[in-house]
Amino acid sequence: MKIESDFLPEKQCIVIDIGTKYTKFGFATEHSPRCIIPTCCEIDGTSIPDIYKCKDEQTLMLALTNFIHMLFYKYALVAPKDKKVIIVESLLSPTIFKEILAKVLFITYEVTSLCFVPSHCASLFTLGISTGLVLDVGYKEVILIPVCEGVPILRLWQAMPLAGQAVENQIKTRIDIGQLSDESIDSIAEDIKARCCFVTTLKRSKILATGQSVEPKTSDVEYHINGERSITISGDIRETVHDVLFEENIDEMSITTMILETIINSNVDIRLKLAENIVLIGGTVMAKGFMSRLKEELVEKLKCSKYNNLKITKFKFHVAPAYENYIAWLGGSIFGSTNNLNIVSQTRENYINENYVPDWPTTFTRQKTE
Amino acid sequence: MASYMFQKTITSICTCGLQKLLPDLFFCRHCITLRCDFCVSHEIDTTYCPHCFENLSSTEAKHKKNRCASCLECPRCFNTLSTRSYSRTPEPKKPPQKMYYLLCLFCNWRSHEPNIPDQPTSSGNWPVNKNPDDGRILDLINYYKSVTLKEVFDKQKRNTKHYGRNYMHFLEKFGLNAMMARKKVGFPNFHTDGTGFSTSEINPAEAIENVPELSANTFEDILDLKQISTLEQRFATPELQAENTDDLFPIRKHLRVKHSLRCRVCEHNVVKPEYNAVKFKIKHLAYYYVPEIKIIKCEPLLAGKWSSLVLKLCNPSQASTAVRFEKLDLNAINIIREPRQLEGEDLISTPKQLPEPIPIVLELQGDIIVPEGEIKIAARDDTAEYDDTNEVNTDNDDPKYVYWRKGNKVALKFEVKPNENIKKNENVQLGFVMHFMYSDTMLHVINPKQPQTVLVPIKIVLNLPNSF
Ligand SMILES: [Zn+2]
Ligand SMILES: [Zn+2]
Ligand SMILES: [Zn+2]
Ligand SMILES: [Zn+2]
Repeated sequence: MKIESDFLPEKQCIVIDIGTKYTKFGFATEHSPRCIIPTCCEIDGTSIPDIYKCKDEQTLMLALTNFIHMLFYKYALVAPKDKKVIIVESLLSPTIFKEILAKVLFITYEVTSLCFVPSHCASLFTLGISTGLVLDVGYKEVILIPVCEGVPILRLWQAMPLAGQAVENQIKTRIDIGQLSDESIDSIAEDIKARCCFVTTLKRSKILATGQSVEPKTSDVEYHINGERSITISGDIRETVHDVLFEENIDEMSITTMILETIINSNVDIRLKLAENIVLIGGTVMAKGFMSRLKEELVEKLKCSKYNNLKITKFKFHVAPAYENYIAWLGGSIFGSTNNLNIVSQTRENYINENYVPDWPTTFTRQKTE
Repeated sequence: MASYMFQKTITSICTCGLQKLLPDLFFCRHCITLRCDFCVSHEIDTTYCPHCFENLSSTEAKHKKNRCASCLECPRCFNTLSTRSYSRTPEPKKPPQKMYYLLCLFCNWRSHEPNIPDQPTSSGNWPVNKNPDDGRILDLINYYKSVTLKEVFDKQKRNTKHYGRNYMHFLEKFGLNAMMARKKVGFPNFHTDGTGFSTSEINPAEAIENVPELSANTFEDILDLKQISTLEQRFATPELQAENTDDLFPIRKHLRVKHSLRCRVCEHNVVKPEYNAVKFKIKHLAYYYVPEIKIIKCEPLLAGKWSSLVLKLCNPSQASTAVRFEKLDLNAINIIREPRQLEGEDLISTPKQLPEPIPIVLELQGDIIVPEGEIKIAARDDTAEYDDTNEVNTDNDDPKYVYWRKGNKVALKFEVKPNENIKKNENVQLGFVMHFMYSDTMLHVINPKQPQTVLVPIKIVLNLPNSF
């Protein structure tokens, strides 16, 4: 194995997954990211808490310039010039974001090549499979794209604003955090979500929704805010804040129905394969009990007249050799170790001549050998 | 203090178009113009540990994954850990043995918490965590590598039908020299005709139906928040992300870098740190060259009324200078960016364009009368405090504009008039151009004459608070 690594391409390749809340950053062929840091930066002393929210192009460009600068000079400790870069991104990320990111990397930082890898496809590399139903539950939204033989089926994509932020909003409305700045309220809500809350079972959730109490009762938690004030977070809140993800909106859509709708709209011959190859990625799916609750919800919903002719009896979930919040990054890292990187990357030269950023080739070489 | 630092009452517009505070700007002596963070390129000079200050070469740093081999950080509060020792007598007859453990002096975390055994040496071979999934990920990487290599070979096989058997260009193109190297070292090579090409095998992941359920005691157990790690603590080691604080392992200190900065246009250094010392070889900050402007007196601003404004200029350089003022012409603000044509020795490579000039969008909320004529400012002289002589000829000073002078400082009178429609409590933004005399002491080959002086224009924006 030692020999292998000696013949790696001499140019270092950097893999970046810029999430709406956290950015995963590291080197290709490594097994975990070097860092997971909040996606925020400063412009001349003013903090930009959410880069994706930058209104005008110029602010976005400065924000990305500063953010990429921090990634390279604080974490990677290599100058970006003449490095290869892989950006793991959602297929739905705004074009303007992609274009400005390419401009910053190619022109300001002079990287030698750049490759945008869709997070949904990349995630499958961590499993050694090429077909699956990939559900990315991040911070702002949940995005579902089925991938068939390595190709994302874009006509079946679905997205909803049901993710970490929706859970935090539940916490903010149901718990009186107090009069603090927006940023501190946000970070406290996130902390409560990560350390106190879990996803309860479908049975308990149904009982709690009617206002009755369940046995055993979930214990309350004393939570200290900034070491000054202490609040009590009731057991009911701890177990039900995530329920918002499974509640149907007026169009009868939730994470559960999203999955079923995608399966029902896909070709008959791959329906079973999708149902038995569900891949969950994104930080929010790491909440305790999320996977079992999703399975319960799916099985329950299947009884619905709308879905009972699906001929599906069970759902199967994949477990990747990584924590869910960096599965997509790891996929990018594995991809970066292969020769395909050189084939599908755009070079700086090409960017300067053509001045546009190509899309991910949908006819991307199949991973499965026939 | 912090709010004082961020108060942007007086800003300068950098050559690239960004508004910056004077201390944030650099001065390129070759382009003779201002540069900021955005229009210099950063290079990594040295890598060092911020705690023990050991310098590491870039390959060493790369090998150690940018972490210091000797310094450890507390996994709970991220402060540097100290090594503590005690003596123990393992067997009654033997001499006592010194044992070491780690302690955080800030939060009292000890290496006993994750059950790290005490070590007999102070440098301690503190255990390094292994990613439990290393094996599987390595298999995946090798599998995909061989799959893509096979694809390349298949393609090449198809191509050779047309182009004969000369496919060296192909090998170059796809970096397949590794393959050749493999052959040289005597490793079994893949068959070049692609037929017997063996891809390493992998078992595709099996999806599970029986997903992990919530454990039965999730509900009733009393949650001890002290035992549950925060996201920050988890993300400090992405491959472990321990939820229980008892499972947090010490983190090796992340290294830092010293940057040297280069002007993007002419590629000369504007800042270069000294190796192994907290000093600089080159440090061309604008602060050392450009007269600093401070407001010392401002009459209450009234809409449509002229009020006087006194600005103090301070010459930081060892040579006397002169300034000249001009109104800011908003129509021409985006023209004439680079003040100087590079020539001769200044021209290391072809002058580049800045990544992208930023269009200056500025709105002024009033009018300003700037002092007329040239105003001289004496050089900075650290002994001047004890000496009342003023070497600048003050005969030409117009008392209408010059309020007072002292040493290398001069106070100048301006008149400002906010627009009629200015709202109360709204800042009044005004601008002017200050040309300052810079004596160019660099020896330019084309111009081997004695030091010449250049007038450097700098656009200044005032943001006057209007809260009277
Ligand atoms: Zn600039
Ligand atoms: Zn150190
Ligand atoms: Zn500590
Ligand atoms: Zn220059």
